[in-house]
Amino acid sequence: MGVDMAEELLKGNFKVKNPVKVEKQAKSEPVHEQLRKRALASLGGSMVYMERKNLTWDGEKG
Amino acid sequence: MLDTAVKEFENIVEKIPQIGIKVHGQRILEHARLNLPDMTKTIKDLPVLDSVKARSAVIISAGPSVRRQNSIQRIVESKYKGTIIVTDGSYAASIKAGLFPDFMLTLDPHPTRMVRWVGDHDFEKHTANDDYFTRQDLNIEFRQNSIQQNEEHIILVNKHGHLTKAIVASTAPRNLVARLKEAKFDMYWWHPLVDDPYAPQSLTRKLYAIKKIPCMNTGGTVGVAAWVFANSILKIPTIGLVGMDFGYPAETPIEKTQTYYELIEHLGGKEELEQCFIEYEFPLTKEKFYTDPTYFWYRKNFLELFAYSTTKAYNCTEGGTLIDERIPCVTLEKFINHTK
Repeated sequence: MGVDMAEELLKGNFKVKNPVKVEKQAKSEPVHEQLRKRALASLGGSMVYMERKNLTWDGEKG
Repeated sequence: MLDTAVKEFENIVEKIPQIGIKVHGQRILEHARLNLPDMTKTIKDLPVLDSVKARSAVIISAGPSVRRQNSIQRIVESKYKGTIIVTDGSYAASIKAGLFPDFMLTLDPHPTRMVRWVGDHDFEKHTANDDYFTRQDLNIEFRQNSIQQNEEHIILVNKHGHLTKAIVASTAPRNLVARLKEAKFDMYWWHPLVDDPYAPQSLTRKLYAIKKIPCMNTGGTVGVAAWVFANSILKIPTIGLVGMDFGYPAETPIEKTQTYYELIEHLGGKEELEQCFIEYEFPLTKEKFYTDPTYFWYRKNFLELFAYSTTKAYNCTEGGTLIDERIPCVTLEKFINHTK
């Protein structure tokens, strides 16, 4: 329920002692942003590898 | 058509390494620093295998064919005497079937997921809002996110952990290491070779500076890391690969593939989507399988690494997209008989 609607419903011929505060609902994250985050998490979801010349490396020993 | 598809694949897969480094860079260094006090033994300290174990090995990854082909049960029934190496994702399924691996590899540094493979004391907290395990193919029970099943895994792993040597990446999350210690796994450490150690700002070199222990290439997956371990560290001359699918059976709807929504986002729509899935015919059965860009990338890495192989490998997966003349496709029974 938004603030405007709440104020509309609360309109009347009397004043309440404790005014009702209605907090604005947080905007949900756009779908494309959710997908982008999923893409990052999923595509990079395993340890990556870039070196392709050796199967092992142990310092200067090889 | 195929050329276009391959180009689209290459466009996508080229971006994967940068994403991975960005996602994992700081995390892996932090994990390695925290794990330093536990790195008392490395893969150089492993005892020498006896003559039978040294002759051949079976590596069990967690691809969908393991379940489809009932591979673990068939290995148990064959009374195979060679070395059994499993990935973390196939460990629980193995011990449930009564197959107690010689080695279990673990690689992924994810802070809340990996511990689940060996039973997670913080199961409910870690599984909230995470559908990772609902997309696992090997052990359907993992999909159900059952508290009872997790408790069973804790008990089972605690009972049998001492029978297996854990080959632990320095980048493992602390909660996984704590579980391995609790279950009395014998732990041997290594660093993942994540980039060129001679490049400026190399992450691999930073890991090595934390502790000078051997680094192994991984190709991006724990299954390939297991093969590197068998080939280059254990130097086992004959290796059978099980559950190394690098893809999906043809009947799997593309909507169920692991990066379906990410691909739509990348491509900006569904129009070119079909180009991202390449079909293969598995030679032994003529069944169709297909791969998506992520698995294509992992497959490509493995085949490039395989050029440096010093041992012979056989694909005993009985399905999937790992089709290469250097790695003959054979049935599991044929491989096991060949090693006797």
